[in-house]
Amino acid sequence: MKKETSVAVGMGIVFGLLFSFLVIANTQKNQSVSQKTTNQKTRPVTTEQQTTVQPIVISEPNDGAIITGASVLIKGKTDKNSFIVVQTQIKDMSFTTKSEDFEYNVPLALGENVIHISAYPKGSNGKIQEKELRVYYLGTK
Amino acid sequence: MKTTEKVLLSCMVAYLCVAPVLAIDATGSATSSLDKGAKLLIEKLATKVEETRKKDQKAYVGLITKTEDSIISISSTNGTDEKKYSIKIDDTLTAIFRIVGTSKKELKKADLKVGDYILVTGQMLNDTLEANEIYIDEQFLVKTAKITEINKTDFYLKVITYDKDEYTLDIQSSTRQYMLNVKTKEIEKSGFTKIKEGDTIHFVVSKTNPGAGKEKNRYDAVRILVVPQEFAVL
Repeated sequence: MKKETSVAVGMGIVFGLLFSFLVIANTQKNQSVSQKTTNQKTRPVTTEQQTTVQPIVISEPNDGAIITGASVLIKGKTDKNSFIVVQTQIKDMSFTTKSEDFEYNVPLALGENVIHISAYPKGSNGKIQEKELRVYYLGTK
Repeated sequence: MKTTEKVLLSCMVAYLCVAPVLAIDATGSATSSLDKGAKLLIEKLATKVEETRKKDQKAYVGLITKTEDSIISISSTNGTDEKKYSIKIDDTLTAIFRIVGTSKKELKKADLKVGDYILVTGQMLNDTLEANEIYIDEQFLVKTAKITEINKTDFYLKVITYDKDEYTLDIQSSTRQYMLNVKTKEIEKSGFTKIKEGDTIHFVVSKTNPGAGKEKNRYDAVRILVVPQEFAVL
């Protein structure tokens, strides 16, 4: 093989590799852009007519938990500025959330306590989010 | 021997005597601080284990469906989900109580009757709960609903929950009635006459003591909190 031929073959290989690298890089970029567009499409849209309401989530205590004290701190998450009503067999309580996270101390009766939490989210036109949990206070030994 | 050499030699001898003592002291203090650290770690670990144990402690609840010797069966319904448990009572180890208001009264095994609503604590072993403590308690229902009908002659309310369950609530003189003040957002004492159809009601009834001669889903209301329909969270 002549020297010129070897140089041409070598350059061909180098250009081929460079071209395929550019094609792969471009394909990956396009894929990430299309994924982003899909995510944007599936994201909930809030309009003036239709308000997206975040479901109320209670992180503490666990449902069915035995509580050692005569009160329990309820920790949860809902929409900011929601009006919350907490009802048990011994007390009705209410407050407005200042952020998405909220916590509230609830007094307990001896035995089973059914804690019913209702959230009236801001601008939801009376659509209420509800959550119920049962905790047990068995007093001192 | 020169004076300087004497001084140097004395210093070396003194160092050889003192160094081991200092080393022992240093080791001792290191050991004691290590002991303290270990103790603190063990205490922290024990506290954490105790906290986790308490957090994971669970009560099993339900209505007694059968009693025989030292085994009782209970059934618990949560919506459409029904759970059944077998509970083993140990005559010497299991303590049985009835919850009466803010106190508990000790009972005997023979006092447990079919239909009693009980809470049980203990260890679940091979699908049988080995009971440590059993409490007979009152079963409450706490719900949120819309008022669909008001009867001002017989003082009852017909309501429908968001799960489409219908209830009739008899308002008795013992019913604690509250209403949300829409302006101040404060909960205030209220009366039957202020309630309107379409208002939201948060209510508590006793399933154990629904009131005399009640049909299904009709109860004497224990407490109600009415949120007027004008209320809007802005």
